[in-house]
Amino acid sequence: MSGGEILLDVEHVSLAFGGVRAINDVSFNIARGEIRAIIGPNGAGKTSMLNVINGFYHPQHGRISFHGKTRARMKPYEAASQGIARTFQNVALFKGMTTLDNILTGRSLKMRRNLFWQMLRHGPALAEEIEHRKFCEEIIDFLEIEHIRKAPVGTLPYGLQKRVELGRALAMEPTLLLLDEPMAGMNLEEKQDMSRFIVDVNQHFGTTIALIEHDIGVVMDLSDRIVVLEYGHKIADGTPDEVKSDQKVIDAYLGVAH
Amino acid sequence: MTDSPQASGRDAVEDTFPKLLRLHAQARGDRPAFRHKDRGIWKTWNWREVYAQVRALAHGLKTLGVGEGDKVAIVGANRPMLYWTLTATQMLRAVPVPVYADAVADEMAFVIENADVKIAVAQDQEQVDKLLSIADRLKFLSHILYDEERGLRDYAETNLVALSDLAAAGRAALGAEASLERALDVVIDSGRADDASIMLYTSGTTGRSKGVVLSAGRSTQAARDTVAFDHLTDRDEQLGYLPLAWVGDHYMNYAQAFVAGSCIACPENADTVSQDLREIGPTFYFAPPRVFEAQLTRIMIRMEDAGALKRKMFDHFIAVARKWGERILNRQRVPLPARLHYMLGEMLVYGPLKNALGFSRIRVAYTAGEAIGGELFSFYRSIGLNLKQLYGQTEAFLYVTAHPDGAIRADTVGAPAPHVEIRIADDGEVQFKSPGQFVCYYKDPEKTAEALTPDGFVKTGDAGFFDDDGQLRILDRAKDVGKLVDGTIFAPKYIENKLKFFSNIKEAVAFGDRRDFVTVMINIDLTAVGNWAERNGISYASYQEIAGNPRVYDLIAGHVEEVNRSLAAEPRMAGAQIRRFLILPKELDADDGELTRTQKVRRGFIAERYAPLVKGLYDGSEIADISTEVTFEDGRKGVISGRVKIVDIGQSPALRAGSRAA
Amino acid sequence: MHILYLIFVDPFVQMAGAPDLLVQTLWEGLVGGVLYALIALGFVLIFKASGVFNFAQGIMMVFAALTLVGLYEKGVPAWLALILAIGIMYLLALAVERVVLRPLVNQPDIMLFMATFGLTYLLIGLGEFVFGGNPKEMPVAALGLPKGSLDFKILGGLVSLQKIDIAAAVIASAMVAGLALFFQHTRIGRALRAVADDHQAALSVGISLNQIWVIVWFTAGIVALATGIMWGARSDVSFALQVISLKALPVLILGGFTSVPGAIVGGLIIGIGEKLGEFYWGPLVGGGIESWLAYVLALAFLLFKPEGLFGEKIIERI
Repeated sequence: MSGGEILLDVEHVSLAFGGVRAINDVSFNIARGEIRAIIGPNGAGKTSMLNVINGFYHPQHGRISFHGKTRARMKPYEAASQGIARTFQNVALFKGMTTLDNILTGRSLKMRRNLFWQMLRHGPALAEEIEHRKFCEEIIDFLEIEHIRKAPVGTLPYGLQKRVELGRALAMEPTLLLLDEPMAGMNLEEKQDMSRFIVDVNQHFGTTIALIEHDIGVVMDLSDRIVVLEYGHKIADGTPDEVKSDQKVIDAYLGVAH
Repeated sequence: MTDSPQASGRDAVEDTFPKLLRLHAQARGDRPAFRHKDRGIWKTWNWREVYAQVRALAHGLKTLGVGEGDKVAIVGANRPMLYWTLTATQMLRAVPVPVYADAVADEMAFVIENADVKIAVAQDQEQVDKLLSIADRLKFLSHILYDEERGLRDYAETNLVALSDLAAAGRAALGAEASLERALDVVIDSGRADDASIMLYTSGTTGRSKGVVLSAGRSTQAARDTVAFDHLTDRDEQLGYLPLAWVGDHYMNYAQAFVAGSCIACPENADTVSQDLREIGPTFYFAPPRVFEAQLTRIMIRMEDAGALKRKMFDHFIAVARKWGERILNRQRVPLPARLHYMLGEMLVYGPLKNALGFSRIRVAYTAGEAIGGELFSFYRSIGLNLKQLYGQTEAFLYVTAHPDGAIRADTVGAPAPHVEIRIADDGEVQFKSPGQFVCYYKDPEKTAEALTPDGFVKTGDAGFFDDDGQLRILDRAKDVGKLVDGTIFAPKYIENKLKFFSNIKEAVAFGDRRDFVTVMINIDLTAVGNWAERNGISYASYQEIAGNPRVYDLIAGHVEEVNRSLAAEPRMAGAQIRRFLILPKELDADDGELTRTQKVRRGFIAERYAPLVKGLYDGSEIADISTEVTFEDGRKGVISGRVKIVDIGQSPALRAGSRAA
Repeated sequence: MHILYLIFVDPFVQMAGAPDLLVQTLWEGLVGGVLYALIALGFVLIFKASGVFNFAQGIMMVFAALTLVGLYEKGVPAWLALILAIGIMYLLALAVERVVLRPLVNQPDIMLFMATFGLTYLLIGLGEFVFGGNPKEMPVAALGLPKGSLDFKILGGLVSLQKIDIAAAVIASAMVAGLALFFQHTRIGRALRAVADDHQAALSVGISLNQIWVIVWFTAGIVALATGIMWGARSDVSFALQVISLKALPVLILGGFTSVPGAIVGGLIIGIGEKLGEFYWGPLVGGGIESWLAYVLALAFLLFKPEGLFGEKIIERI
């Protein structure tokens, strides 16, 4: 799959906060349809990289092309409207809202009917709302979270919150899905479920996925290609087998108990 | 109340389920027959639609070669499509064989092979995968059909057919040629009372499971009797949420609904049952004791977290209900002030509580399968739920005894059900003859003969006796009732049930037969104990850790002492008090063979598996080491090992009757 | 003993003795409370969506009313003046987002708070410069609002309800209902709740913070305009009205800074409380309770329940 069309190209990107360099001249690309993992020890700049890709941070140097279009500065909502969705390391959900409402917010960019009709739940807006609700129900069915459809997400266990967050991202029908430690803090069973969902999303919807994950086993199983960062530098890039046998990686990351 | 079809005429024409379906399509075609929540929305089908759909499916099955006597396995959760396929199979005079959806591939292979299944119907990809993994072992299996398409589009197997496609093709064919319709009518009419209607595999508390063959005539007759007994009509509604392969679902939902013309609602999935229950508000409800127990536990936990005022109000009115509720439900004389007090409670507490549980509309609720704790049973009755017990068996097509309205007691399982004949054998075993009585175990005349007495009574294997009111009391499995070395009667289940009434205890396994004293292994209830731990500032990382916590041991020891006090109050049981106990470091699990698929403990197996612990219980040691294999959800195996503490418990002096029972 | 009698018994004797007066007092308190609630509501909207403690909320009310009246006095028809005033509130929202919020995003809350101080004085200056500083009369009739009163002979006396007060209560209720629908059922309402809940997550699903800010400030502006019209109809329109707007603070302390129901309940409690206090207990201290009772109540709440009746515990943000 790595030979396919390049969906996202990161070229010589550097990012610094004050004097601290978070990312240092990193280049890599993501091919359409692949699952791309970004790994590295804590503080390697992985999350910063995702934040650069979806427009939370603006790199001081370097360029990013998405869909062949190069951009200097992009706002998060522009990234979203171009088809980049993401989840967060520490689950960023709308805690006071229900699972269904959370997922519906993922449809924000797809809803167009005017306010007046929406308020009265009538006319074309009702039809539109039903259509989006249907779409969200498919996601709920897919992620097997029917039982918490009406539950305020703040009350849910962590593993389920992660699933709802994935659902919200999927509701955006993204071309590129960024997952920041989708399995952090999960037990074995939850990890297996999540892996299954990620593979299904990738295979059945053709969504390109970039994920950060600490569980090396999961990363090796899931990803087509892996980029390894350490202290903001890229130290390796390749298939799981290539990365596994790379001496620099072994020294920097795999060798270290983690 | 509207008419219930031929209430209990003993020679009705509709002696098969397809004939009953046809009757309802004509008599009450517009009444709802099935509901299912899908993608968040309840869909409803009326009897006419269901009849048309079942005919279409039946024709489809026919084109796949299904004919009289062929076996069709059905694997999955309660989905309308699966119920319909079941009827469609019966329509062709073929025999449906429902299989437990949570059965692992091996268990499934045994049933399908044993039953000579020709076609297997699966709910979804998960079940299809299981079937495919064992397909090469199953020589008769020609096709696999499935309900939910997701994930199955890309499968290359050519013998894999979607039920929806099959039904569409069937409908098209029937529509195109009237002769096919007539042919189908002829098959329906040719259905006879002694056709095998279904094969239900018993869960197998002992050994491999057996296929219990039930006939169409007897099944419909038995259901007719109980429909009349409980006055069910086409206005009734029930939630089909129990395993399709279990006699309870097939009887309570399928058979009774097909006789009464009532509506079966299928939940969205297993996790949403409690919400779906609330939304549907069934009028007839069945749940095993553990479901009622889990619900009570949840209520109690919620109340413990509630505000002081709310808790006070709850406690006050529950006390009122305990005092008067059952008498009011039994229509006994109750002083007016108490009645008014109860009415206020109904408004403020019982009503909202029943509503939250989905019990608001229930007219009749049954529980069976295990003995139910007296307190638990009384609790639900006291808040106005007409909960009754029945005693049944797959071999009886469920009903052997049931509580008639107005004569309900927690410690009995009721009087003989209509047209059921019961006798107690010399060794105390309960034996019966019933309208729904099974025909035989499939391909196993030897076992069939073993299960029957020479004069045609079915041996239940349960020890019991009739009390003075003519109601049956079940003690335990006949073979499980044992004796301590000193001759005291040891009824393990009796003790276990007393323990399990405590919400902190999920399972208990008692030992004592031919021993000096009684000991128990306890499984804590993680929800209840976890909540307790949270409130008491005890942190834990795993099940094993909390199970071994000294304060949890203290908590459980308190419960065990209370059980001893209640045992001491009963003259026959006072000598069988619990002397020592331990808390198991892992949850007993059907996947590990420790429980049956219907969640009953397999005592012998557990004793073998945890032999070092049993030894520790009896050799006086305070610690025992155990290392045991566990099966994870995905089927992989792992090992849990650790030390388990064993604790001694004081004995209560034998008291006179009348003291407080747990 | 006598003083205790005057405090704890006599007022209630009076209430029971003349129920018509009690009803009249309660009604006036209710109307005042509804208007306080509206001011607080605008405040809560902004606080929830952008985390800004908007000191200028009261001034926005005066400014909006002044714009309407000023335009009317300059010969613009009332309906057009109303539309223009709404338009100006929109421009104000745009300007605030562009000039204040956007440059100051991610700055400490105190900076934004100070910025709203600046905004307050800017609006006062601007209003006086354009429309002059003298009090103006609200063109009640031209705006189609009712005049006069409805009198009821009940409870052994006369209860008189000003029609404008009834209109105020009705309009305020309609506005609250409209806002509730807006929040619950629209895409933007859902987006607003999302932004209030988690900025980062809202950004990631493609919600534009800038757009939301404009909408929130504009909504708060419309609420301010409606409140300004109602207050203006009861007295004159002048910057003296801002004193009333300061009552929003105790209302918010009572109701909690983040709760819409809190703003409503808090407004009603303060409105009714101060009228009852003034009428029944006022004579004991020589009157004037109305001007300080709200603050005393608020002080008591700060001591015993600082998060308010419905609020989250975030008051340390101020």
